[in-house]
Amino acid sequence: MKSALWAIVAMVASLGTTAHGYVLSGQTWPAGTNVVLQMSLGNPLFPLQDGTTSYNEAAVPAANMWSSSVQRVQLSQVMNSGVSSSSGDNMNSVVFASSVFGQSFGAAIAVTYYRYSGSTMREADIIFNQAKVFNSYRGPLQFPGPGPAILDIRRVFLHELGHALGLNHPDTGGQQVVAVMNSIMSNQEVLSPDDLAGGHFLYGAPTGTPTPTPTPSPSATPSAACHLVNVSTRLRIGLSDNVLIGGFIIRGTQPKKLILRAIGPSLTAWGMPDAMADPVLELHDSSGGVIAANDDWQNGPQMSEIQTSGLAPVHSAESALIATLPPGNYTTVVSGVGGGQGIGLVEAYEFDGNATRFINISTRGRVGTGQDEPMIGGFIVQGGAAKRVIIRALGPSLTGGPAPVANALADPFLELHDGNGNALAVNDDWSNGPQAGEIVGTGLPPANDLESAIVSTLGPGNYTAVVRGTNNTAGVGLVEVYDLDP
Amino acid sequence: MKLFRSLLLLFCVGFAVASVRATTVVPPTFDQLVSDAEFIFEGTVTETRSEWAGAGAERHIMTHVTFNVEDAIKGAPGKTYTIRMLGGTVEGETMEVADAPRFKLGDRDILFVEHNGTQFIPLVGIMHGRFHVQTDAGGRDVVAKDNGAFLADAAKLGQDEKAAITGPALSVADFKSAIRQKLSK
Repeated sequence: MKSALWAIVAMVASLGTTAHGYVLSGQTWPAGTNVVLQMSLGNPLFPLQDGTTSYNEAAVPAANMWSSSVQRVQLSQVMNSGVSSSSGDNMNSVVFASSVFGQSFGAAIAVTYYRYSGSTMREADIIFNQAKVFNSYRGPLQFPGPGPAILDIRRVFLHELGHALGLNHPDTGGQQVVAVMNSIMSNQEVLSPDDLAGGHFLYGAPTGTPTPTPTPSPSATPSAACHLVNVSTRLRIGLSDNVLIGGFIIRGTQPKKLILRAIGPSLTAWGMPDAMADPVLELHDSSGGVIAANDDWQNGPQMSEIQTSGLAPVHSAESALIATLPPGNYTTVVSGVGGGQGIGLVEAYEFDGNATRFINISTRGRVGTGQDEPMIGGFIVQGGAAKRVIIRALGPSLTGGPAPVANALADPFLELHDGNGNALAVNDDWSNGPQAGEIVGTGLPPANDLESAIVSTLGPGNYTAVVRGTNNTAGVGLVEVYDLDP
Repeated sequence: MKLFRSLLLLFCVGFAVASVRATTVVPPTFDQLVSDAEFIFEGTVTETRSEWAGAGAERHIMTHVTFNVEDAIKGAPGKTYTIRMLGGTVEGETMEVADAPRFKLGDRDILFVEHNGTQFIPLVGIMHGRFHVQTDAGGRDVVAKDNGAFLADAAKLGQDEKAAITGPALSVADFKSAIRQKLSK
């Protein structure tokens, strides 16, 4: 075993005021290297807290943080590459595995195994222990009980990448600094000044940005302004009026690129035996015309683009499509192949970061009475500020209009929850609630007094709006979220 | 409450996890160190030898570190004991696990060994299963963790790592006595 190469570096920054404590392992990548990460982490069996739908998507912002913070090397990635971990193949694998090159993990959660000659780094494989359960979340470490924290894959990856670049633990070297590279996981989830100083010492600071402060993006679609970036709704999908219809309105001056998904069979992994076996997805414009459709995402012409998006469905029978749409009103319709029925999920994700945005997202479908049959609409608020929204649960008013529904939900009840399942607000019959005046003030009061609405100002995060029938009744309902900011 | 169950099902399945405070390894408690170890001994490194192992995608370098056992505390390691670790240098080519303990000739250590021959680093809690024996300024043999910090309170290991290294360094004699006391229970 080679002797220790650690060199403790206590340096003073260029301004001469800030002491640093980063520790070097002794190896670096040659200047100009593009360290290509072969991302093969796959998909989780449950929704990740930050709204990302694959481990690759959850982890990649960590690579971007490092890459944007140094000059002489860059990190890039091949998503869903399928490359397995193999030392000596000159491929930088990022994988889940049951062993470290045939050796058991023991207590290790993730291992960075690198290969070098002299002081020149040639390969780094990052291997996550597949026996552990990883989530992805932003903010402080989460402790579900008196035991240890929930594993955050992005935080672990950010640390392991630091090793791959040639950094070691400041605290191990006796330094007392705030750093992702410390040996003990902490609330630090982005690169600290000390981490950056270490990166700059090894590879230089990016031109024009001597002290960058990277900000992790909670989804694959970073965007500066605070806005709605995703909607997903789960419910029992039936026939005719009971198919799942998702709607959204895009406002702005530029086209918006989206990925739409219809999920069914993979829901069984969440304990839903009655999941829809084979969902079909259609995208309609405001005239009702079908713009695009897909059945089984791997069969369509967009398979490759969907796969590299990091948002590919888990199951081959699920559907997805990518569309670039001009501002306007759209609907997605999910139904079962051959009249199949069951619980399904429709999702729409922003796929670019431009200023054009969702201002309304809605879903119509059948609200049932069983344990798994309320209509659950999820949405993500992303950005750096709070977002004011109105959430509505409609039923009786669906019996009117140009496409009346016969079996509408008579009296919908609405609940708003945060991403941890905590109830933030509830409403039954909007006009009787304390927000009646505020709801009228939005210009969007429901047409029927039995319908429900909540006005709320929400910080960035994941939310769910749950609709069920008062007194355990069933029928077709609609849940929608409007962005009230100008 | 069925609604809450549904929400948990949709968004919070990930809460049902084990977990961690260190980035790559869960630091074990003192109880876990003692109970999980198959061998515990104090010894001195007398040889390190690295070689290629495995084939194809699993070709890698392994290093064998041999200790002269001076005090067997748990199990019967024999007069000498060799641990097999992933990583090392052969003909100028180095493969290395970040965070792995590094041994050199003459190192004096107290090791908590588990799964030697099958685990990539066969120590309980990887680097947390290795304790240096060092001599302080007063000529007393004291215990330091793998990261070099002096161990002050073994009972705090894995529970409060900062408290474990806060205070006067624990003597080797007291550390071994605490291990034996734990084993006798």
